[in-house]
Amino acid sequence: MTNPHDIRGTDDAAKLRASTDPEENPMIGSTADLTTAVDTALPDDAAPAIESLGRGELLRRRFLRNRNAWVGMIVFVVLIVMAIVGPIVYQYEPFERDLRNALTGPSAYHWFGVNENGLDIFARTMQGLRISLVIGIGTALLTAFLALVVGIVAGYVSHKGKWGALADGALVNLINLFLVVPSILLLMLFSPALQRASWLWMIPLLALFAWMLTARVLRAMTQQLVRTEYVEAARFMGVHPIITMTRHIIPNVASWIIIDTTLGVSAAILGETGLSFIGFGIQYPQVSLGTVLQDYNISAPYTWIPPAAVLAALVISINLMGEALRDALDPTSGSSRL
Amino acid sequence: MSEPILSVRDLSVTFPSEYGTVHAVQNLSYEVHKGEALAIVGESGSGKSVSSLAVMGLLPRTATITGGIEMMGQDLFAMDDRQLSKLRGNTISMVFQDPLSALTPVFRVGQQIAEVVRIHHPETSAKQAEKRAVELLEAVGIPEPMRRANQYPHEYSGGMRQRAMIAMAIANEPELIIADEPTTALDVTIQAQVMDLLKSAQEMIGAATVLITHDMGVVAGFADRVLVMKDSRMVELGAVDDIFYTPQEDYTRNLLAAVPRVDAGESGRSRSVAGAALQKLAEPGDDGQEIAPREERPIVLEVEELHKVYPITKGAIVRRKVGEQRAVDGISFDIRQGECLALVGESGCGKTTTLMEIMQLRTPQQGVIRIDGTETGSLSRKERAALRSDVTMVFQDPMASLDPRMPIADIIKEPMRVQGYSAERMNERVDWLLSMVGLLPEHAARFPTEFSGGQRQRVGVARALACDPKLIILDEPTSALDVTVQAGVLAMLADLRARLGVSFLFVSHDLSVVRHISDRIAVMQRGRIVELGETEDVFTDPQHPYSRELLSAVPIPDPEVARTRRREAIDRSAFDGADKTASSPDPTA
Repeated sequence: MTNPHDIRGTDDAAKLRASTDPEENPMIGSTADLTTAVDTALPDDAAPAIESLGRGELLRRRFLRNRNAWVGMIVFVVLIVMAIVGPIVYQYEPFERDLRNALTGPSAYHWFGVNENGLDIFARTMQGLRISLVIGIGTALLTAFLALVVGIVAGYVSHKGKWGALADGALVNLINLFLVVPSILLLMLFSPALQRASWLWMIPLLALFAWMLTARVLRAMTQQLVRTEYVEAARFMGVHPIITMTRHIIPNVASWIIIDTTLGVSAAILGETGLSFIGFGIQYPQVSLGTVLQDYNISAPYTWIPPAAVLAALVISINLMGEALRDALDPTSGSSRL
Repeated sequence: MSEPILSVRDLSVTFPSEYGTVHAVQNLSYEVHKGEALAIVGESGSGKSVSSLAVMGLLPRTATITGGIEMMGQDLFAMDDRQLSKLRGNTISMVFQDPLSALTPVFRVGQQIAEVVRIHHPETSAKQAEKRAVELLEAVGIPEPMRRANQYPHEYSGGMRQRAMIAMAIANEPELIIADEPTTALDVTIQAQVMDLLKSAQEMIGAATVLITHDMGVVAGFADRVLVMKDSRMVELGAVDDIFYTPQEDYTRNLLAAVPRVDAGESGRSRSVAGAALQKLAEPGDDGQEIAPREERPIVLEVEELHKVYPITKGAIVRRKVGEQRAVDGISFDIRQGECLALVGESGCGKTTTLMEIMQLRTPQQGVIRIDGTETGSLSRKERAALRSDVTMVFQDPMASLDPRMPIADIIKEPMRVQGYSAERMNERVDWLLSMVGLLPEHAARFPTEFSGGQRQRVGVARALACDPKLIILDEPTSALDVTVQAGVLAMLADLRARLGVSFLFVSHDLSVVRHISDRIAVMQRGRIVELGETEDVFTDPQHPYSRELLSAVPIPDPEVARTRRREAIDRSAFDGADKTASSPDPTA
């Protein structure tokens, strides 16, 4: 049955008639002069203008057609600019105490107000946004890398005889092991110790407990790709397995990885702020959105609404972009329709 | 003539897309009368499926439909979904292309047929409906219908699934059956059976039928009238004999000519284009060289007593062997330089297993494979990699065999890169290879998705040719293509063989395809080669009963011949049910 989305190549018949009708084309299949044979066989450029859209261009169009994508992008860019510029132009430092104005609301000097310890909330929110962004993006990238390596290797070797199946089994059990380990307890155990060295240790620590599900999905996708004829063709050509993985498999799962990494950023930010909020994440002398929220005073809403709003805006904007990206990459989703 | 059951007037369907509006169907008008079989013939993308989906009311929401469709005097466009649902399955029923995806895998086949009965006749009890399902299965010729009704779709073979689909389609004695490429996914022998069954089922219940297909050969024995479509428009509409014997339009003539024929007779008289082109090539001396007789040419591939046995195991923890599946059961053949051997057989007969054993270039379970005199088992890793350039493969599905993320040039360069060609030489060769397979060198920078199926298969051939192979293994290279495209690809392959002197191992399930391209034919059944001989000998005087069966299954695009060949028929008494007395004599008897 013809899928209506696949309708293309209707001009093929005309070309074929030219190339298969002996009356129109007496040269067919003859061993005569090559160039004439080619010219008559394909009288015209094979694909007319309708096929000339590249994949990237198509993606860009679909992405930009989505209104949510625009909202997400604008909010995300505004937040990044604020995180970069905010601490530079603002007069207070995140740990500068102004005890005289403790627990006062927003004013011309303290834009978001001051908490009960005399710390300026805007300065802390902006600094926290910086840290949260770095941790979020770093964790997502590291997670994607770990998942890619484990998932693709496991998926690729699983068809390669007895030893391959054994290696695949070992990797799957490793994934399962990490899935059943109580990650939150381990994070709470290791985080304060590693914090003493550097706050950047948060990135590998969070990534270590986030890669498993992505890896499982990638393993399944690779197993499917390994069975396709083009991967088989590469095997019959004698292409090295590692080259096959990088040349054939990774590009074909790339779109999924991109979506997963994008959505992983917001997941990592939420994980980090959550840990920081209960006191096991980012600690003095650094501040994250979670630590800012930790200093809440329920009776003074200005102490918790601004950082919470920034956090929500950040996560929602990333999710909006991720969803739009998924719609753009997935031909069966709504955005492929006009 | 009686009132038309279905009349389509001035139907146009358009889809919005990234590339502007796609006109899937334009100004199509036709009528189907009671008991009549109309065939809509056209290539993929000609809009034939879309037009019938419009009749069923199954087009996606984005489609814009204009025109009118009337079903027994009722305007289909004026109905809402609920009214349409009442029509579907009861008055109109559909047989889909892929019987595996058309049946729900989680329900038993009997239940699914019973469901169709009960939806439209809620007064039937569940028990009666299931009994009816068994009767229907019996009617369509499924052996042991009681047991089979309790099985799941995956336990059925492709042909049986399509039979079950037909049983479902005729369950409520509909006025109109739409069959959308019902046999494209099936082997030739099964195709013949299913088409015969469909025809007799249609005649029995007197339903109007719309058959959608790209193959003129299938149409000849089935249709009363034929509608030819091209590029979303109707080209020609007429009675089947008129279309086949006196086609008015060039396009219809081309479609007819593209059908490979088994009955084409001796050389030169073939009406088929591919055949004519190939015959011309087959004459030696075209390029001024005399071809040495077969016995004097060197052997390229030699297979001796090849066996491949898969154990059948049972038990989850302790696996024990309960039996074995002899996929390849001791086959031997050889291919000389410049020769084309066709390996023909149904799916599941071990063709693909044989190919895989050869392509592995390793020691087979049992038997010997020699390529150019070297035994594959004795190769070192390095030698094996070098030998990969001598034996290459063209895959069945041109959509799946090219990496969609790589431009054509990179795809063709891949095997050369493995063999360590220099960049300059690779670029030269890509241009040469593309022109060799009838594409333009400018195509090198494009991606596979920008090409049609036939062009992609040409790219696949170019890749196989990249390192000057001695032997190319062609695994059903044309079975995924339209008939017209198939003729072009076959002509190109024959041309390449004549020009480059490569040997082919051509695997196919369809004898008519290999008639003009192969020198010798090996007919394979259940892992054994039952007949091996010169092409002409096999066609004129097949020795083995299975070869004869294969030959007779090939559809012949000649209505008169096709009508006389019908064998399979529906079991009328079973359809009428045990409680009613069978009034008409059993046609199968």
